[in-house]
Amino acid sequence: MATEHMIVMAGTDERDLTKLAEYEAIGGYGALVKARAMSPNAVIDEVVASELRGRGGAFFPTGRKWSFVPKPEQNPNPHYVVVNADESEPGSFKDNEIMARVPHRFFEGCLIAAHAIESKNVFVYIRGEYTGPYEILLGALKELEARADLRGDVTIVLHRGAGAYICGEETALLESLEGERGQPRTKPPFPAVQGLYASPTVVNNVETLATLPPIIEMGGAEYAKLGVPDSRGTRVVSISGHVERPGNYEIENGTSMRELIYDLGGGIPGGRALKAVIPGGSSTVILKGDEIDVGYDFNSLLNLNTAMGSAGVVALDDRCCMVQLGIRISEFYEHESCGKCTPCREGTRWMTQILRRLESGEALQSELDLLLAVCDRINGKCLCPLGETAAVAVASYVEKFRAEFIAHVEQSGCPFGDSSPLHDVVAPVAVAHSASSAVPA
Amino acid sequence: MSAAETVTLTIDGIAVDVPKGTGLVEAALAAGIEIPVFCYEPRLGPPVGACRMCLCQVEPGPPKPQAACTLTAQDGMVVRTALTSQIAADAQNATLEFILVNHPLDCPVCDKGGECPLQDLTFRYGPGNTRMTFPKRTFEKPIPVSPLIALDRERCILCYRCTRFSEGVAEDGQLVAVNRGAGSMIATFGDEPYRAPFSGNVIELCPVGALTSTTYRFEARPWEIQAVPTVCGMCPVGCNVNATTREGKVKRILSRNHPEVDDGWLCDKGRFAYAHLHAEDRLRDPILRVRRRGFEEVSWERALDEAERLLREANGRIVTALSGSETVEQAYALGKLLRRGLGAHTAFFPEEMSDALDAYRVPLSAIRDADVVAVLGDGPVIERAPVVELWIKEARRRGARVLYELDEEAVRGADRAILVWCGPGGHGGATVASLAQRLGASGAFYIPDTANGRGVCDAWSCSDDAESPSPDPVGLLIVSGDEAAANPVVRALAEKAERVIVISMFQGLAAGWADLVLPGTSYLERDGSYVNLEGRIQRLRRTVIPPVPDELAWISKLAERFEVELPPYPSLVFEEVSAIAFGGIPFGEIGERAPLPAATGTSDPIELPIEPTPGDHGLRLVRYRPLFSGPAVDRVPQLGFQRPQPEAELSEQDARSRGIRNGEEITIRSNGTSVTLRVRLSRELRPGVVRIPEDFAGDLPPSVEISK
Repeated sequence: MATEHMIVMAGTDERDLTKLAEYEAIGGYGALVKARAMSPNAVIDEVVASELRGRGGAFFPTGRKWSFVPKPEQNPNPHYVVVNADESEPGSFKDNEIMARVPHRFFEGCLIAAHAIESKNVFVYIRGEYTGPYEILLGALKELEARADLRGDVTIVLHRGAGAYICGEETALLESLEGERGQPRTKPPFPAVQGLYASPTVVNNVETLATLPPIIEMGGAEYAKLGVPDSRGTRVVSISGHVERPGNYEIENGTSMRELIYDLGGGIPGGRALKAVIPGGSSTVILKGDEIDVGYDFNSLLNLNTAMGSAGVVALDDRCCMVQLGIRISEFYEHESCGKCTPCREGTRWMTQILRRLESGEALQSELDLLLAVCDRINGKCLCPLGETAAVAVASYVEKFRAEFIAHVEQSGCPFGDSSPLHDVVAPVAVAHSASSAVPA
Repeated sequence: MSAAETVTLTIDGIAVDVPKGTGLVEAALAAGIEIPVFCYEPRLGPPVGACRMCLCQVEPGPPKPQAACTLTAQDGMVVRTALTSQIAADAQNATLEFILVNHPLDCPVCDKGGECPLQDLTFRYGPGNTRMTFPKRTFEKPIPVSPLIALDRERCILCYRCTRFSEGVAEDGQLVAVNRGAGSMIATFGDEPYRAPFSGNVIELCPVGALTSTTYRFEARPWEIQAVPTVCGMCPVGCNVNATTREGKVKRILSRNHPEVDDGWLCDKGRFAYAHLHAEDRLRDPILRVRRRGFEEVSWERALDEAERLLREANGRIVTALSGSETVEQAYALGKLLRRGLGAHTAFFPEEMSDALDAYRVPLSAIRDADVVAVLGDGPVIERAPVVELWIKEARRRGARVLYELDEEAVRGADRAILVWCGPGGHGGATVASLAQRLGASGAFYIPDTANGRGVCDAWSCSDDAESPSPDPVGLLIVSGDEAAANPVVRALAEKAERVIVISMFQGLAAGWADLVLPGTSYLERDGSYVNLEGRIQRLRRTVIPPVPDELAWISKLAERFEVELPPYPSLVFEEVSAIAFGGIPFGEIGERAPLPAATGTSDPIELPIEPTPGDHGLRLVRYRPLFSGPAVDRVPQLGFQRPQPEAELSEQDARSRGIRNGEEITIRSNGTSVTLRVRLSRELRPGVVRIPEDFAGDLPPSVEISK
């Protein structure tokens, strides 16, 4: 059942929850008071019971992540809560709206997390381009800081990123926060043990944290009644691309993807056919238009070899060229590769080169195999998931739309040409594709 | 000592026991198996896992190949390298394919070709052909990173060894990576020249031909060179080096890692100053002062006749000024000739040396493991013994407290405290030895001004037992070596001496004031031994034949004329010294990587010498000879840019109390003389001291006032 604004976004239809007073009027910060009356371990247990899993993309159980953090008596260094608000995945824009509309619920979640891991310091690493949400957070933080009873002895710092997708990878985020180049670290050690300033650190996504106050309020067990096994609760999903009503929708996990696209999204404009769906942001394996009769949850998508990722659902209609999509995605990852590890730095560039040649119609059939070989040689060899997801995503376009790629070779050009409406969908291209002479009339 | 805890793991089917905490690369090596690497270099700090060359199958672990360099050996671990795992072999092959897609493959004209890890690993693990058909990424090249280093960004494989060295070892922070992804490249911060005392190490660290030495570029191919193992003679550390020679010329100096002495690092002086061998004013023939006509070049036979005449005419009223850069054998030979043959026992040493320190003898690497390091004496360690500064930096990174002012409580309270004396005074090490004894330090060092000051003192003193009063007036002054010839005190002595013989490599240093100049040799041209600041006896090897007879050969000939028995062979001379001073170890057993003689225990209290105290008011001026100065550096134009800036160092406290900020100009004055210099605030200077390179200190006295 697709319902809106049930947990994370609750109350936003009726009130302006960016105001502390409004938020308190609906019981805001009550969960914090409740959590603080509990022991840190009891809070962790409650979150474990909720079966909440990270909303940033990796879907790691939040309570378990917290339980890896050494107790202060085991590690006397300061403990840190770091918020990954560097939402940059093409197709995902949910954290943007969460921060803009329920900043206090988000901060309340931060303070609950801080209590759970006994931290006095919260760093919010927010994407540099998110100027709107940043201003709203700033205002909300000002209100919060004036309230010693709520803030307690916790310091919250807003830190703006400088426009690097890689800084959404948690260890690169920590490097950047420390003032270093934003490049991932090797793991282990994991941030829980050695994170920010080599101290115990929890890195959580915005939505994950904004889900905490309702969980504490209603109890973990109650929250776990929502959703389906392994995917409990709700999810704020960004629906975009070729749909009538693009936007963020809070859904119960397990809601069918067809419902997302055709009910919430209002279907494909002009009654066109759905060709493909990117289910969880640019880094996930693509689904064909006929693969959407499936629940939007971890296990259902895993069965299709893909994932909810950061919940960016991108619908593509039947006019879209999959090679052009590949170029967009590959260029994005090439541009955003940090350059630290070899396969990603060199491989994403090579992928783009091959894809451009395919699109131009100059490629040989063998280069399609070369493209897959390059993807295969990147996948599983990189330091962090950036390069790997680029390879997996692009390889899935070839795998699922192989005939279309072969048509580019056989027709010596793109069958779609300029008519492929990918402009403003997914990611911008650095160089516009060249329309070939073989464009059908 | 209890046996270290070990773990057992299997690598390609071979079970191997290694100490707990051993990295997989080393563990594989213990099993005789290579895990190929580019970015991995333990001396640069924690592994970064960037290049992905070391991918192996590791169980337990995720199903994909793991970067072995980032893992440590665990009990029961099963590692499969490219030897036994197709997954690992494919992964390593993939890494090389990716590295090579944009590599220019200009191996035939690349200086690294033939000694290049990228070539070697491609040969063993890489693809034999290329599937890349697109134009390669190009960059402007070569980029002059400094007058010493050229950067080829196309060859660079972005292993970040150089930037990690700059940031994490030398801590100069000048080499950085800029841009992102495939556009990443190495650059200097702000595109300024890489001006730092250890810059040359990045050339050796570079696993490809991206960073090359401007002095070695296009000079030789690896199969037409020889490597001669010797030690550097430029400072008292005695870093172990290999001299690369081709057709009888030294072409470059490389490190020959001695893990207790230098950990494989060299300073730029040690690395690049070899070019002084080919200086334009290098003396090849003896020079004799001839009345009216001035000077003339004479044959060695004539020169030795003249030397004999001068020695006899002086009638024993002879003073010998030593440089501290002679080999043990040269100093002993001079001593034996002059003292036994002529009864001339008076010598002028560049500095005092004490053997009290022998009780606190530890390897330099002990600094790294200390928890408190006290650097005393107010002198800049980096200028006198650069590699010692790297050990101190590493100690600090590992959590040691580094003090620049004696804190007796801190030293007493430490498990492992090391004292280092660097600067004027210090009584040749007696001061730190006494402090070490009183405070219970576990080791102490004195950094002398000269490369072999200790060895020269020992050699001179065991060349004879007799003593004589200092002659007045001096009949003959013998100036041994370039450092002595450049020393103002020695020059003042020469003014008063009736006759002067100078042994020097360079015309510019000796001509004009000596009656006889005998051409000298460089440390790179001598066979013999040096004693470094630890008290380690190290072997110097003749890397190239000098253009002049070596000192030992002609001293031996001269000795014959005075009926002093002196073999012309360093091995035999060394054994005479060794029997008295070095416990009788034979020359042949000094070794390639010399061990440190055991500390000599002492229970007698070492008297604390009295150090001069500065006046009641004002600051103590410490003037020092900068690293990049001296007769050899003066003759290497490429090192010109490394010369010291006109700066005065000041502690933050003294600056704050006078309202002086970093970079401002200050005037340092005393008794009517003054100099104006830019100020650089230093955390490595205690309050009450101002430090200035000697070139800029003018004739300021030891106690000065400063103002803006």
